[in-house]
Amino acid sequence: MNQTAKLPQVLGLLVLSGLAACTGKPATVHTDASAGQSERLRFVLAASGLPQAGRWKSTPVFTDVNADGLIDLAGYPRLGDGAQVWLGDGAGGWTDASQGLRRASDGSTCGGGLDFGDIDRDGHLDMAVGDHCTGTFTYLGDGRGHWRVTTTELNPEIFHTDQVASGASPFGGTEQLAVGDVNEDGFLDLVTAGSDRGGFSVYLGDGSGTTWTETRKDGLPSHDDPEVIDPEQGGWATKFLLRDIDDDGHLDVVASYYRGPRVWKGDGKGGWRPASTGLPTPSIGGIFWGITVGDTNEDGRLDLLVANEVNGPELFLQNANGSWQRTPDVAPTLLGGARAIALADLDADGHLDMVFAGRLKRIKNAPYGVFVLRGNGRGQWTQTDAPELPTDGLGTVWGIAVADVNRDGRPDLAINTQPMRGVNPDKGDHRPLPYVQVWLNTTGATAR
Amino acid sequence: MRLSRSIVCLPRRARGLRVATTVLSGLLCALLPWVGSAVRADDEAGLLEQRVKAFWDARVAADYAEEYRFLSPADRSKANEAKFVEQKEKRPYRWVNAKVSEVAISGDLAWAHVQYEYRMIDIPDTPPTRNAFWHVWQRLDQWHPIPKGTRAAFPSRPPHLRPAAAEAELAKRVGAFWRAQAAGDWETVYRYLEPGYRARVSLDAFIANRPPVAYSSAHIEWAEVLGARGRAKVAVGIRPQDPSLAKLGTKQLVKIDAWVKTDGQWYRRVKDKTDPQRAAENAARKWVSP
Repeated sequence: MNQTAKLPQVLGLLVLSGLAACTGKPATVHTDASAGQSERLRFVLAASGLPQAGRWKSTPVFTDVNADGLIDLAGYPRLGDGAQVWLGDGAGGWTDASQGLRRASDGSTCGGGLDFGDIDRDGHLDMAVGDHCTGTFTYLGDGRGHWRVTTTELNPEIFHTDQVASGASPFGGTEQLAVGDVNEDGFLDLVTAGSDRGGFSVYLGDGSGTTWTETRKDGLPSHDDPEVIDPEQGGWATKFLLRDIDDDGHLDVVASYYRGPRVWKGDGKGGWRPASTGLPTPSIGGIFWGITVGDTNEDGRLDLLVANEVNGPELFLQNANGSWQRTPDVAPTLLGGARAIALADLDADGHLDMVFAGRLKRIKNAPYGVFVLRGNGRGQWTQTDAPELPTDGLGTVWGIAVADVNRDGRPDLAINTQPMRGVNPDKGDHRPLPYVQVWLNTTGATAR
Repeated sequence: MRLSRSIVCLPRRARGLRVATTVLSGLLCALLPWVGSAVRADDEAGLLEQRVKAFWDARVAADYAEEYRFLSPADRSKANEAKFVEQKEKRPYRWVNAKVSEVAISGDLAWAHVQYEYRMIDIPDTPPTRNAFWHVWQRLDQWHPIPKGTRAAFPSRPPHLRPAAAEAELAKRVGAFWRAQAAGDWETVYRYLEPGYRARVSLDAFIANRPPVAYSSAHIEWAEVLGARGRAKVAVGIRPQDPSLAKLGTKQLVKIDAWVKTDGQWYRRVKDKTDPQRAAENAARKWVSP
């Protein structure tokens, strides 16, 4: 998705948030009873046409691939054949539109990330896919759900030189990527994060979808320009976004980097500078996963929400000077950490709410569940009853996406997950829910 | 108990006799449990000795399926019988003979002194190698041998062979060290570290590089002195001092602390890969005996 396509999302969140004054008070958590808030959230599963099986090791992406005004969905599996796109019918039904995306017939995809944008500027959305094992792929779309591969196994230059030297390079593979015009030349570029070492790579596009020019020492951490000198040689990022975090008109990188949550501000010319003052560097690397931004305290500045695999959701408020301030624990009863996270105004009260996937207990192989905290725009969060959502019984949840699928004004959810450890649906084990789930938000539907 | 009760219930008139018998009954009452327990201990030691001998007989006979039956339920859960036998048969040596000469029991632990000979399979013409050690056993549902891999978690010799006063002195020092750890008193902690380490690493460097964890009060389960070397089993709570890991909470750890006596004082050994002497010791330790 390009910069102009992403800005409306952010602006929409800001408008919904009301841009109320910041209270400056730390986050507090209430229960539904104590807060006395409005009706409970209601959801209904709308997975007709979506795959029942698979390991969907990517954050799902909602977008309108065929420009019919209806939200479509995409995901990228582990041990699958390639990325998949499903066209939405606006009522929760889905039709596969993945012709040309199949790249492996032996189930050898490794999961990763995907993003959309009009790379060749033909008016149709194209797709970039990052594979954890093999690197980055691009596919040009025709607007009707057909795709033509134009880039395969794109990896940083160090991968090829290092491979020659050692025979097996840790610099190959793309854990996550984003599409955006980082140097503001009118062509969409690719920003990718390594899955093991090498940090970030930026590939400047020329509009062809076939030729990419790798930048060097641009300010993002990489093997030859790491944040710190350590054996990880730039390391990896589990998830990251391209967003204009400081409202200066330039795309910034907001990342769940292996050393902790991080922000690098873009200068619009392809250069980056760190802006992570106040963000933590835990003593264990790689504990942060899902990441999103939104103005949670309605002070006009985007805040950072990250899924910490130990602590659960962690919220960092953006200060006026661009530094970050960690809020107190917003989900104290969640003891097993979180993997995926999203922000949206689920109850249509004008304030951002938080939806995340985590584990209630810190025990081996504990199941994941999906949980909602209602926000009041003043830094207070309410644990919310949303009984239709699976609060238990899920395998690892790799990502949550939010969009208004059925155009009722309420944000709906997509969840990518996989079988729980020890569960093998192919051998007849119970499969409680499909592993790509869309939940339509029907809160208040009966009252209207 | 029946005997002592009958002695106490004598007629009133026999007062002199009553006094004497009361004293006698008191003595008997006091001694009976000891006599009983001594008998039971003898029985138990005998039974344990038989069990240890049967275990070693199985080893000498290379009857590893029989050896497997001596393992504790927890150890059996780590490998089934077939896998256990397969692993044992891959050993490059065989036991030639074994003799159990003494058994000592202390609580739920026991030590059996075993003298044995073994021979490398690939060089059968060489004379067998002789060795002896205290084989540690633990009482669970019954007595089970402690596998070699976890034997370091127990004192290597029975209490009657260990210097109680020296071990008390070591335990006191270990306790003081862990109290300083729990208090975050890093200067004191540093003073307890072996002199060789302190000569290489300054206090400031030690403090700067210490892991971001906090310790809760420690319990010293035992301390053992072997010449100038000491070991102590310490149970301690550890929690990360890192807001990003706050929900990891406190984890209970059981550590085997290594100590060394230098110039008449006990110091805690430090795992330091840069120490050349330690590297040489580690290389020497790679020699493995059965």
